[in-house]
Amino acid sequence: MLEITTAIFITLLGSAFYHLLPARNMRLRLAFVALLSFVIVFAHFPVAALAATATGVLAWIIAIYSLRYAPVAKYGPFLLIAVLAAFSFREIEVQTSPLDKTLLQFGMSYYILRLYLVLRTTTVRKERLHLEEYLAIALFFPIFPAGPICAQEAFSRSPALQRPLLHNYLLGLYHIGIGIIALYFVTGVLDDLADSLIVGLKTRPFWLQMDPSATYAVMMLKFAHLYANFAGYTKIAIGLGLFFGFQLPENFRYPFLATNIQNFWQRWHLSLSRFITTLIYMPILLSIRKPRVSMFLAFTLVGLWHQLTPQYLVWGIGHGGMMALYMGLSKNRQVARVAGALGPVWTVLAWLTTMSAVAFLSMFANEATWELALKFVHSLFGLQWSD
Amino acid sequence: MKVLIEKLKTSAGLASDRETWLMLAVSTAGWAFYLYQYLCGSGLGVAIPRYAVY
Repeated sequence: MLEITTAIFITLLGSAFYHLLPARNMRLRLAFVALLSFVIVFAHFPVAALAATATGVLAWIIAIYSLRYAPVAKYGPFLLIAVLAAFSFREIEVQTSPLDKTLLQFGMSYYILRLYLVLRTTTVRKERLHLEEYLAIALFFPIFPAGPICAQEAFSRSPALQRPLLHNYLLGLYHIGIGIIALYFVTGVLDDLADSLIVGLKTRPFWLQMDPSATYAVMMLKFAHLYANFAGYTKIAIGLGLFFGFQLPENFRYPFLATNIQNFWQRWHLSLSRFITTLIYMPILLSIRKPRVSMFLAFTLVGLWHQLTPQYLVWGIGHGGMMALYMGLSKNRQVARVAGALGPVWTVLAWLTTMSAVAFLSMFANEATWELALKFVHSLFGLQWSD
Repeated sequence: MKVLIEKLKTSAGLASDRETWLMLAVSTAGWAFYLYQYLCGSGLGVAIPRYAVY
């Protein structure tokens, strides 16, 4: 992975050359972005770069045939999901660095959703994108290791392309500044706080050596760390994208202010949230006509998209279950009456419950093994663990 | 300055002037932290996405 100063320097240099290319020739500009991104990603993660290029070409071929044959338009994009599933089910035997292997899978889970989104939107609009745009969307280096999940609206159709260059550069620096504070400073403070709670504990995992209150505090701190890390990383990616005139979407809107699970998903990982709603929830809803079941199934699938592990299956079932439950309770008059009577107390309780639930599921899902995840649960609820 | 804040508010999709000032202050602090780490510390290291920290 690039050191932050190197990343900013390369992006400034690359974007300067990019802006020297004729603005009317977007194909040439996108080809340059695709090539620059390929070189940068290949230098660090060669296998992941080759896989992304191959997937970009596959998406482009599907798009060509989608315009000619209706079944390809309908079922072709699922081929991308099949590729992702194949890579998730089986670890590929290649001689490369562990990080390259990790990125082969994690990078893929993001760029495949981006390409899937592109294929679905171009089919609906009968729009045709060129190969270089598929490759730029798959490989664009600031978003290669993680989100946001975006399509051509962020690239060749970006509103930022109409703005003056200086405006985009200054706005990019503004986003990067926020990203630096979150990614480097806030995560450091949260790490120190978590360390102060596990000080004196010598062996990993720490779970069974802590009492429930310390486990709860570590769980909340780890979740805050996850937010600062992901939001900071995304902010830097948005800033670097603006140097090229690309408007990557915002991914977070103060998720720690959410007072219910639906509101949480209107603030957390917004690009994924939009993807779930439009491309998973709505198609399921249209076929089975049951909103709560559709929501539950959509989130269960998204849990497995994160990782094919039982921990993430629990994460998906947990979020899907909470969303389905909220959809039912939010229409309940008795609940509304109690909420009205309790006023601010209800708001505080709702906030605490929401934050605790999402932090719990996040901590559970991110444990490396099922046994570790269970140890965390035992530690949190003060239960006895027997080997 | 008011024009600048208005432009930033619109471009960054922020809700109010107060939020814009706050975010601008956070961003400035970010760059100050970057410069401090670059000049007096050991730099900031790589930008790590979330899965690498677990």
